[in-house]
Amino acid sequence: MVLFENVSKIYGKSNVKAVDDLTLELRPGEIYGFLGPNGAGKTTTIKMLTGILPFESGRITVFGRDVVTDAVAAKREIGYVTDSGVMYEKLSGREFVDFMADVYGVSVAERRQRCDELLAAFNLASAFDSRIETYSHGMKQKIAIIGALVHAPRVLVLDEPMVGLDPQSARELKEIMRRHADAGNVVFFSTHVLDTAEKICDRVGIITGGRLVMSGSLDEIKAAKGDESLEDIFLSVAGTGTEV
Amino acid sequence: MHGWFLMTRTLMKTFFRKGKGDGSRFAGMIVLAALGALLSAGVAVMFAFLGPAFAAVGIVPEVTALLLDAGFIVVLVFGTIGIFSYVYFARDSEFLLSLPVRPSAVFLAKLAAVYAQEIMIAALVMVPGTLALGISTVQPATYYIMILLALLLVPVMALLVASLVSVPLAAAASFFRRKGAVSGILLIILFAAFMGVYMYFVYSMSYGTGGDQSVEEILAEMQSGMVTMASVLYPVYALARFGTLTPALVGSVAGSALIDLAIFFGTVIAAGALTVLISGKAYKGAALRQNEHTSSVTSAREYVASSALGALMKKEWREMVRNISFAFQCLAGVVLAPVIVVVVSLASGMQNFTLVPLPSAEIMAWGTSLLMIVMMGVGMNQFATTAVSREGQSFAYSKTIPVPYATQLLAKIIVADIIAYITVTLSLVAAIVTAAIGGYADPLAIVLSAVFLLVYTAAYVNFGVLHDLKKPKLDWVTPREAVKSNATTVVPMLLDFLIGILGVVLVCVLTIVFDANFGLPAAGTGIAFGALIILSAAALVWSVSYIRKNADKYYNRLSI
Ligand SMILES: Nc1ncnc2c1ncn2[C@@H]1O[C@H](COP(=O)(O)OP(=O)(O)O)[C@@H](O)[C@H]1O
Ligand SMILES: [Mg+2]
Repeated sequence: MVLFENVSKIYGKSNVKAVDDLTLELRPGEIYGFLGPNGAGKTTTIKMLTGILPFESGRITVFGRDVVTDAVAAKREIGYVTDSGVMYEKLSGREFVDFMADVYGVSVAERRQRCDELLAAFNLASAFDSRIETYSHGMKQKIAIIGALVHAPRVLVLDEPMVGLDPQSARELKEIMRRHADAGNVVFFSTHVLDTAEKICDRVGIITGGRLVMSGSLDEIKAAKGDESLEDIFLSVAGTGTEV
Repeated sequence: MHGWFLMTRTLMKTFFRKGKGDGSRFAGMIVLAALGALLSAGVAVMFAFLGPAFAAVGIVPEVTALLLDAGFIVVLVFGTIGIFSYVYFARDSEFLLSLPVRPSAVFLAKLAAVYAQEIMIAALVMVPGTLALGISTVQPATYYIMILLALLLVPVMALLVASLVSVPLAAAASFFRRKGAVSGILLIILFAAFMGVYMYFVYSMSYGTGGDQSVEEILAEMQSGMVTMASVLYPVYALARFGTLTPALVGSVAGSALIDLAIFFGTVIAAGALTVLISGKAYKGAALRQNEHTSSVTSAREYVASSALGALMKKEWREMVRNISFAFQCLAGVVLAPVIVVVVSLASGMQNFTLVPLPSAEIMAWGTSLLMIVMMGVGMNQFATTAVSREGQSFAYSKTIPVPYATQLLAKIIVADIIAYITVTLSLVAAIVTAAIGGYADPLAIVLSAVFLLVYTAAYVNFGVLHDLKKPKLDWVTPREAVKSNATTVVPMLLDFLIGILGVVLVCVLTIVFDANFGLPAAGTGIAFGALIILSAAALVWSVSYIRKNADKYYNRLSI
């Protein structure tokens, strides 16, 4: 379980709250879709959870471990895929996976078992021993996902994971996310692609201007808003005319 | 032409803007400027004092030429690295070449951006010495015109040579699987060969003498030796002759000066034309080919497990050695430092042949070698001072992996230590061999130097890492930015130079004083080294505990 309690974040000298008093609970076994227009605060939220960004107020815990005071233990539970496709470009895919497995303490047998399946699903086996700098954007995204899953994290966090993936790979990823959640883990991802969210999420939250304006299962949200489509709801709460 | 201008302006802007605009970086620049000024002042004072002696022996044009040569060599070395990483290996090549601008314009625009950076280094190397020499030997106005011309055009010449050199190098490297590593090695071999040629001249000059010559003979020999050395880069020598108004080719001063000037400008123009002709054409193909990594398959085909620390060390090493800019900055010293130690040690052995016999020439000759080890072997290695900056965007992983920050730093420090100790050991061996040949090997000084270097190197590495950790440059796109326009790499280096100079002066002064007053040079040497070793050890212990205590604090401040 992941808990955000009244978390706020202000960047540097700006006065704008990138995330404003966020309270949110992510439960094992479910996929939580974090929706919002560009600049809503999705990436900021994810970076606070993963330990990249410090924050001013509030508390975030991962299965009871505080991400600030018990940072290393909290990080051990998390697998994270960035939105920027950031990578150790000079390593090969396998070397990168080895690196991630080493720092999370995963045995060679477990790496082989977990990765072989993912490599086949993502059709990445042939490029696995080439340097990551030779990969396309989508391939980098895939190897980042494999690196994030190699220690079978109890919390899988993905920032805009579908961007750059071809249709087959996007479907594979959705299935992987589903399986990972079904195994009793938390899957938390951000997106502004509503179709994706509508298809695979157990619950969604809509964030805009740093504030979580709505959170619940799709049915709950639709019921509350009088059965509009998710798109209509999104556009009404996130403000029309906002670039999505 | 218009396209070239627009592109140059844009490249310059991005080149110099990155990372500016906040207070502490500004403070860093001030410290940098202060240290630079201090070093320049030292060089200036030295040449102001030596100037009259050079004038007496009649070698002012040659010394001037060698000072300008130093600027040429520095720009050649750094410029070639710059051209490789900023021109050939840059990530923006594909984008720039897709613009409606001719490839040669892109190439020249990039060259201009590299020039703008190198001219500052060239100024630091050439101006203080020549200015002091000019004033102390009362040179004519042409001398100052020469300084200006040299400042503007010697870097141009060096960069043109560098860009010509890099064409075959880039082409040769593209045949190999590991292009980055191969071009790094080719560069190192090239510069080692270059230094070797110079060394040969210095060597043949100082050891050609027999035992019992008259003062006049020694003088004449020195003079002709200097002329030979200065003639290696003949156009620069011609410029120096113009500056000092030394007639050489024809009898009349004015005529000779004009001819010398024509030689210099002719060379610059010819080199420029050749560069535009050859490298402009070669650039497009080479730049695009360098960005293909079709065959960079690594050999491992099986998962390999290691400890978290081991994994971090492997990653540090691979990310450095597979990146040409980083590899060159971090590893060139392993080859270059011993070569430079030998060259400078041989040159300082020349003291034995000068007319003014110095007291305790042995300790001064060894001190020079030690200084070179401290400067080239320890200070020029930038693995430590870019330890965190090298992460760049991938710093996000440092924050998210479940490894304590102190352990992550330890991995960086261990790899830095390994590289530094290999460099220092090779340089020390080179220095000892040279000293043995030169007849000034003092076992006490050697052993104490070794102990000092053992402790000092570790301390320097820790401070380098710490300094980078305080304000790393993580927002780079081309690796060159992480190393070159990064103030954090320069401050520790200049500090190292300063410590080296002060330390060696301390050793020499105490040895000479104890020798003169008590006839006990060894006591002076021992006390000086004792103090240096104790200070280094204290710095080492402090840095270890400081890093342990504060790693979390600094890492938490950083985000990407
Ligand atoms: N490094 C930063 N410095 C200052 N402001 C930032 C930074 N990163 C993001 N912001 C601001 O924080 C807000 C939220 O951004 P972000 O979390 O990236 O949005 P999203 O991921 O939802 O598109 C935006 O207003 C953005 O401008
Ligand atoms: Mg985002």
